[in-house]
Amino acid sequence: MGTYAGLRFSGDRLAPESLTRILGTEPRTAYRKGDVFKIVRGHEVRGRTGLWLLSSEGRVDSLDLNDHLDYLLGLVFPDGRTDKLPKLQKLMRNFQIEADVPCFWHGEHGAEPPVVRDDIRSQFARIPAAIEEDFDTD
Amino acid sequence: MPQIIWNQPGNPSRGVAARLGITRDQLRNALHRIKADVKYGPTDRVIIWDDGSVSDDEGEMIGNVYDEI
Repeated sequence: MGTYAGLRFSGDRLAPESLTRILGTEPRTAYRKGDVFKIVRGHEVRGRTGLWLLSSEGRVDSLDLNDHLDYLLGLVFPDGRTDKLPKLQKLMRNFQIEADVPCFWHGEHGAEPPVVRDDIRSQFARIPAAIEEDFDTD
Repeated sequence: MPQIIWNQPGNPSRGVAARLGITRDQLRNALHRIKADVKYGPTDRVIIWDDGSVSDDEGEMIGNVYDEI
């Protein structure tokens, strides 16, 4: 049983270091389009597009998905400030970068899936970053 | 030669996890990570092989379940 969330940016012209600079943290996975970013049992895995992905897994110790999402929002809106947002939006606009928020939750049989708070949805919509739910139970 | 044990969109069944000798929770977690790294969503179809390999719907390798546990 567990939950976590990611903040993911993608685009053919994405340069990972630009996002790292604005958000001030190292991603879990980052690569440019065409880069080999992983070797699996001798097979090279190349990026079909550029990608920058930060995960709350291992950074937030909570079974509440909203705590994980709050953590990610804190990177874009540190202490509630909005000064990073225009920089991020300009980068996304200039380089045709999209953002989304993949959310993972796995519960016991019969467990109720989490509900993402409206204020969290609104904040991610400002980026804009769509919340993508991967919820399931045993 | 590895054999396909899952070739559908969505989350694999408990039987797939059993074939790999892991829990369904472990399998779901691993698949989410593998898919997230290639900009796939939960409904995107992947192919799972009995050696733990995961490939996309064009047959390109994108990860291995055992590397994510």
